[in-house]
Amino acid sequence: MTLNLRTAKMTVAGRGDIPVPLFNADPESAGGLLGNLGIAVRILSLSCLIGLPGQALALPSAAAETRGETAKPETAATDVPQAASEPGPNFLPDPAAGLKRIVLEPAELVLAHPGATQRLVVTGYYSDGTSHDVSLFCRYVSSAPQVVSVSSDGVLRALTPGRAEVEAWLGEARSGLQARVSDQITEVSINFSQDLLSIFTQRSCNTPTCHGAITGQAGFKLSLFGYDPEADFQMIVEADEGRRVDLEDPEKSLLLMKPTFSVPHGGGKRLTLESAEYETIAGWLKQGARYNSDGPRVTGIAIYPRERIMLGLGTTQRWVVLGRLSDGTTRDMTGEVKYQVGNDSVVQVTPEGESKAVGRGQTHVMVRAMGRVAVARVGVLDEPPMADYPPLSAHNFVDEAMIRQWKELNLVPSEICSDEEFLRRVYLDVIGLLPTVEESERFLADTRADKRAALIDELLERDEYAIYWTTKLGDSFRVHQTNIPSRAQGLFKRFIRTFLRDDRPYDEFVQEILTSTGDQTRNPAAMFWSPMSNTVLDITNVNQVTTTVSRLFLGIRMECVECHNHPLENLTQDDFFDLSAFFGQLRQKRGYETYRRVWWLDPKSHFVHPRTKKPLQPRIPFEPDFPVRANGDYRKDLAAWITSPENPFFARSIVNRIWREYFNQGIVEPYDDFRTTNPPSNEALLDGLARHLIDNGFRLKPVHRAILNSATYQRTSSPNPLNKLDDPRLFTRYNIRILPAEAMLDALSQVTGVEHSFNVSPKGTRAQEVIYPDYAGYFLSIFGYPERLSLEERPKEPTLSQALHMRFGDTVMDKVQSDENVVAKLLESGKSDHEIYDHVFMSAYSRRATDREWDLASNYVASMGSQGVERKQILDDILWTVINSQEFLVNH
Amino acid sequence: MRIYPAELSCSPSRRDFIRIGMASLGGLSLASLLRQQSVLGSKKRDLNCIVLFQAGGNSQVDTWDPKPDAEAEIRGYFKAIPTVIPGIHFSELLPESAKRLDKYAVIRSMYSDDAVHESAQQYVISGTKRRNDLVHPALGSVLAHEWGSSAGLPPYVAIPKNSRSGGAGFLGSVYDPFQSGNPNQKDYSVKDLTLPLGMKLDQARARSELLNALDNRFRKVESSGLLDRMDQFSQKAHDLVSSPAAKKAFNISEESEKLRDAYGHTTVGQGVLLARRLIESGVRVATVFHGGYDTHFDNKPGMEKVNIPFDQAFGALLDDLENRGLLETTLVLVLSEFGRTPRINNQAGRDHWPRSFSVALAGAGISGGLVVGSTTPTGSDPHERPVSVEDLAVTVYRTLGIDPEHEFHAGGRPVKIAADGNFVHELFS
Repeated sequence: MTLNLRTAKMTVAGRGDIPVPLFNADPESAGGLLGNLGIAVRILSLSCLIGLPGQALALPSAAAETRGETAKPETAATDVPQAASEPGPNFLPDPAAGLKRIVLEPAELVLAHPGATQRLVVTGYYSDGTSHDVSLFCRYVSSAPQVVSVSSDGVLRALTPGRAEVEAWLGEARSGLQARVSDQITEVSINFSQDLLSIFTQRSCNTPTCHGAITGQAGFKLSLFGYDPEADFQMIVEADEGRRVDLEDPEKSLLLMKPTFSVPHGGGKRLTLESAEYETIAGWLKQGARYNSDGPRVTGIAIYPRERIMLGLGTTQRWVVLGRLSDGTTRDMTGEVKYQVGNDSVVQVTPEGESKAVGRGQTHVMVRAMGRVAVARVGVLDEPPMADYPPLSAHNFVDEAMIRQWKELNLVPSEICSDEEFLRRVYLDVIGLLPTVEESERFLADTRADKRAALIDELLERDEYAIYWTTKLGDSFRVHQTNIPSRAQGLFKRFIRTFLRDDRPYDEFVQEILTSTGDQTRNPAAMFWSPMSNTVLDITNVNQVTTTVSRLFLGIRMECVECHNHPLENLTQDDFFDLSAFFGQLRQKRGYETYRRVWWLDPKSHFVHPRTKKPLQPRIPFEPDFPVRANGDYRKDLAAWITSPENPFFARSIVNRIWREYFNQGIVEPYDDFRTTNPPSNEALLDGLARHLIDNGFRLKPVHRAILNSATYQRTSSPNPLNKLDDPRLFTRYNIRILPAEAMLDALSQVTGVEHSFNVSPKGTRAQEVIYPDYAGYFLSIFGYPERLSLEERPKEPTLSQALHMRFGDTVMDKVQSDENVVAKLLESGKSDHEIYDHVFMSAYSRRATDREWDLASNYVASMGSQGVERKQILDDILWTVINSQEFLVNH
Repeated sequence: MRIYPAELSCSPSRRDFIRIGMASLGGLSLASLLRQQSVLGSKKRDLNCIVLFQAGGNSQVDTWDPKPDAEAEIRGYFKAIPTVIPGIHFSELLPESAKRLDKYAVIRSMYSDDAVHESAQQYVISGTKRRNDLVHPALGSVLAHEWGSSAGLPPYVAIPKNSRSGGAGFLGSVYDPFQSGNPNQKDYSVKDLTLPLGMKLDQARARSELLNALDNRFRKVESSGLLDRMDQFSQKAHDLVSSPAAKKAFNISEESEKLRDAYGHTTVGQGVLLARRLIESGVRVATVFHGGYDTHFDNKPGMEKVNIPFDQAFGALLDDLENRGLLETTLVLVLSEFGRTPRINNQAGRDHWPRSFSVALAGAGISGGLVVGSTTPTGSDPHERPVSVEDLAVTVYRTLGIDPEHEFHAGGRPVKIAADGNFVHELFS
């Protein structure tokens, strides 16, 4: 199977097609939910861009100068300013030194009318991989100075209708743009239902506690989160004799005076006079306060440059934002957007869009306006790229993607870990168990060069792999007695486990789930629907089905759009309803025993639109042209779309989930929150893994294998002098985490040699396998065993209860003090103290005790012995100490 | 470092301490979090909270809202008795409560729409309806988050143990309650705060030193915020176990026999006494989960079994708090996840009934001698002044000096502590 995503197109309701530029980006058109896909491709192919032929800058500079000078020197060409002579944050002793190429952006402009302006930005790319904002160092040359001129600080001005080429020059480097000045005098038309309502929502005007309350607030009522634009329009423009708008003098409208607190307002000051929102509302009033206007609309925004590797803390970048309008013109929106930054310990950004590098790492700058978003990636280097970057070997495509990023960001990952560290880590990560003493000794003694790969293959074939990863999928599917009748739980878990063990294609598995019906004890896949339903009232909560399906299989959170249009993405509440309509026929009834729930499709029933009260034909919001049958089991069409190799979300969301289990951080994090404003930390890596999954027929084990065999996974968690403070999402070392609840309890039982008794399962049952985890008890609950009432992640943080229970709790003490524990058995077989330490250390840490640890233990034993404490009790203390040590409690 | 997309969905009105609190989940050190909390918490240090949760769903008709004039199938087995406030009657199951109505208020017109124990409990304890993607934190966890701890004790304790619904949800398990165990057991000692039998303090100390030595070696090669936070909890665990104050706080046997008798030698009686003792020692919120109210069969003995000991404990608590001058600074809540069917079923029981139920509130400025709202003659629905679960939550948080409008960042969006409710001002009339 091959991935053919270049042609994939997705459409967000009513906003036109958005090409999905997965591997061959056209970032110009990127926007909305999918915009980030293109952006990061561009970023990661930076090194290719730099090396591209055709950048030889063949045009002699003299020619350009001649052309510029013969035209109209005072406006067309300007001298390089003298900024370079003054050391400052952007100090560049010689902006042309080491320069490989420059890029002038935006590359294409259609200015609406003479007088319109557009800020330009020029980015210089240097041979050391860094880039710089060189806008102020360039000379700008217009081919037709009577059409457009450019000032020395890079502001282009339209003068007369016509066409022109503009070039920026820096030393030998040159970059150009095409500009056209239209003669149509147009202005952006501001739309009530989109532009104004998004402001009301963003500023919390229409929340239930303000004007969104059932009865409104102070006589002014808005629909909750703007679900009813027509009523809101009527309320604002017409109700109460139109007192809220003043078309004669728009800025005297109550609609503006209230939120700016120019007149008393119970809700306080919500807008400043300088805000972009104020401008938008004022603009709408000036345009006549119409509900629908037929003027041009903003169809997308783009930010330039789309990526930037900043060298040196304090370095700045000025962003330029270009709006694209429905009439084909462009508009400078640099000053009209809201700027935000993902991680402000890397970059800080002012409301005007001036960014400053403040810390090493990588983040994204996001802009939004008129419901549109665009994202630029920023890397910050605190020191010049090292000339002697250490050679790193790549085991596979995972490493290639990581090494490219590390080099670019001047990051040096930790060393490859020891066999001991790898052994313990890979057992815990793949099968959720510690290696036994025998397994450890066998592996450590093995001298084969490929023994790590061999161990990975062996572990992935063990039943425990399927059992352990069933607990992870069990979190997603919310396998729990509250949600799924207990007698049926075991069947559902077996269904998941069999899929994992046999490595059946994931697309098939998901199709089977999404199209399941029938008695769920006969068709366990149908258990999927149970947690989203009320089994007391026999009601299926279609909204919960929709949010669960989109989150689990697409990695998209639609909870926001359940109630209101998404504030950050181009998703609407109607999109949510369209998707919900796929499940409109799903019904449940009790089987002949209460635990036998039966799911069936009622062909006569339909999902009813909550507002219009009309039956709704299902439609895929991300791809409205995708064919959906007129009647019958709609879910089949949805399943076909979701699991298609052309769907950019499906494969990416599952590989991201798997990655996150191994690295404790997703490439997209939170792992099930894919959106433009939450871009992946390494796009090429995510794409590579998704492609690997698809190329392997959607089987998951090859993805596990690729990750586990990578040098990236096999690096030590121990930091080197350079990467101690690196962002964990850059994976320069293995991220330490506390063992998951089940793995912790099983490890405890294994190391102490005392099996755990669950009151519902036979003795010796491992925590991962307990049939009724609901009764699993205090230990599992404090270590984060989830209640699975919701789709929340397991807690990852340590707690006081954990610390107390590990030290003094009965779960631990019963094992440590047992007469049948590992100490008792070793004493019985006549082992020496040192042999006992060795055994316990190997069992708990998968390594031998160091000399220092031997000494510490021996001293303790001697000291306690001299106080008359029994030998068994002293050695139990050693066991207690080991299982309370951090090295035992974490995977590292 | 901040949780990655946090900044995006923040409301501009969000205050810094929420940010710090949430950031801690992503990486701020616990120490700075605790410092922050103790600074911010100091403003409201004087207020505490005790929650008595009647798990299973108490029957409103058999307790706070008797219907003596209704037909027998509704009226039930229990007579109505006068309270200290003329004109107000309770069921004969609550004589001690009836005598002290001047000290607290009852809302008879509560309503909900959730009839499943787990989610209904979670709704009432958190004040927010169950969501698909997030578990909203319980009142106690929010208070623990906002107030932090004092006197080295855990801020939030569940007695005898946590219910499925009393947890911290999206705030993270750091804010889960500490569980006390059952103080009505003979030789009760608090869970996990005691050294194993026969171990001397010296040995325990030597053992801890050995552990520190092992950890030091590991810490030389590893570095992670997680390990730092584990260290802090280890230290705290060590402090708690060796702290006489903590042991004293949980040592219910130091209470006088007379007082222990007054509360009653029952799980709820001693549990409520322990709650008071803990509040007095520095715990900020104690929730007593009292089960057994789910009387689908044989309602009469079932109701007697739970409400009689509850009544005794509640009466003793009101007296005790008042005697110690703690009632003004302690909000006492008596909650239940829903009511029970006003009409007795064919197994002489009552089933789940979320459409109407009663709650009681005392202390922290709540007016005594008050009944807010009423139900219809059959008790099936609120009649006057319906009060929603959200209204109650907003009222409780405001009473405790916490702005319910404060937002947490969870699940990729801002989530208010309590939303969609209106303050029940009658409680302060």
